[in-house]
Amino acid sequence: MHVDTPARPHTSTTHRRRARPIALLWIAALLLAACGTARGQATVPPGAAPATGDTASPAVSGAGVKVTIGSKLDVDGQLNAQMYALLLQARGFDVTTKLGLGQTPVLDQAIKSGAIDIYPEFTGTALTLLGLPSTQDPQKAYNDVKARYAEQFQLTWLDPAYELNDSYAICTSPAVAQQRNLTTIEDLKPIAGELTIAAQQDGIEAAVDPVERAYDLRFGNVVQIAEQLSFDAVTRGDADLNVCYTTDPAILVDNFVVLQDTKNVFPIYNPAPVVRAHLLQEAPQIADILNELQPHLSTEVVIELIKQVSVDHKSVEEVARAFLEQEGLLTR
Amino acid sequence: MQYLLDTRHWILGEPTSITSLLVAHLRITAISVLIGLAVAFPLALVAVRHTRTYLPLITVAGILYTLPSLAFMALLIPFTGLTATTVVIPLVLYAQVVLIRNIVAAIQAIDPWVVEVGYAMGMTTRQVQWRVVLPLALPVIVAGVRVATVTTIGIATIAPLFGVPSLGYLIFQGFNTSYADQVMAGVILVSALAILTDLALLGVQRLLSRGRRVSPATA
Repeated sequence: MHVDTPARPHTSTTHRRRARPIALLWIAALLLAACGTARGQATVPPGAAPATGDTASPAVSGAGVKVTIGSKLDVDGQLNAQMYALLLQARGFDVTTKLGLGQTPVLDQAIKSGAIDIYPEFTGTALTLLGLPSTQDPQKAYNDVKARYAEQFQLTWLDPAYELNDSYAICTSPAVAQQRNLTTIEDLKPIAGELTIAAQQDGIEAAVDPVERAYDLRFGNVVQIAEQLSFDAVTRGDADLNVCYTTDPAILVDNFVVLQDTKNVFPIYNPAPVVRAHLLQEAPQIADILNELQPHLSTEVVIELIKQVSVDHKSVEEVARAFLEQEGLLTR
Repeated sequence: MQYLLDTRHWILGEPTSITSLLVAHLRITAISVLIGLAVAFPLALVAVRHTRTYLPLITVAGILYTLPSLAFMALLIPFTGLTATTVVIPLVLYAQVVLIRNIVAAIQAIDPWVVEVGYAMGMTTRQVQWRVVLPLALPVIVAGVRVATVTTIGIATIAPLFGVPSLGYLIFQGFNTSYADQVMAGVILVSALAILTDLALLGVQRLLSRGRRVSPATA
């Protein structure tokens, strides 16, 4: 963070006189702000779901159990976590949400140290985290991470959403696809050397490298850029292709073409709730509550939900709640 | 600008409203700078009295300042969780270089004759410290506080990545939901907050140096 040396102050008296009340006001504000923390409000995270009015009846299972649910920054993760939160809240759990935390390492640290109890993770991401080879077999990916997490970290993987695959793909704009006559990744082979592909850091490892290996091609140029910005880069012509997430609504909105992966190189990324084993011992019913959600999720459904957040600018909570109500998982 | 001007985004009590985030951002900044001062003051006094400690002290503070904030905060999660403490500890440490250096410089810049005159007039050591040294040193110290505060406001932007609300929420959330207007609102607010706070502290600095010229080097 670069801080410029502030400009030399004016010395005119009028300026000085005006600066004084403003100065006092701001100092007062700073002090007030400092005092406010004594009441411990500083820990209320953005997007914290306040306890809903529907107080748990004695018959309801989760009454009083405190649960902190986290998520990464991606909208898919935030939606999943928000759904877990709403479902548990409706069963009387005392839920705190910490959505939109940093990248995978932050969540990994947080759940291992108990700062959060539950967060949605993708099977494919967890394999990478564990240093295990990626796979196209969803069942194998899930079994591998489930076993390793249980054994090494006392973390339980609940049922995954097998129909929801938030994987990588090679995308391009309709203009480039038409001009270069592209429908499959195989079509890239003769011309890859002339093309620039834009990819986020994780996409280079998880998509660019495997594609180059499996299809025996080399892209002319690989530029590293955030996934959200890569669509613009292709539209503007700064890149010819981009590594996109299969759930990105920009694919629909900008009519992007997803090149078919005829050799099946992209690993499977199914999300599942990762839960601290301690919490499950205390409240085993969490497993049933969250497992009930998974069959309702699919790639198509999530693209639509992400679109409502990213394109229509509805809040994550609003979208998650409406979906759960529509699916009959949550009563109004 | 639409996001910024929409009154629905300013609703009090809404955890992600601009108002709440602004208060949260100010709060982290205020706590960090105040604790930072409380830590820097005694250290600076030691450095003034025992000049040999100054170099190692400022070197350590300088090295701490170079640690990347994201990594620093991530490393603290196992110890302090996703709480304000995780964000405040690095912010307090980052402020040390500027604060210690300015407090030491402020005290050293005082003309020894002025102190001597104080004693000659029959003042006790405590009276000299409180009524001669402190008033003379304060404007320079506040100049350091200004720089530390602006830096802190800037770094506090990443607090939401650790579950602690700040205006950075608008930037991160806006970016991830492709909401450029929200990102812009966050950027404008953080900058405005930094500039206004700096001006306010400049006002304080001026008040404190009434009757004396604010030297260009410290203004």
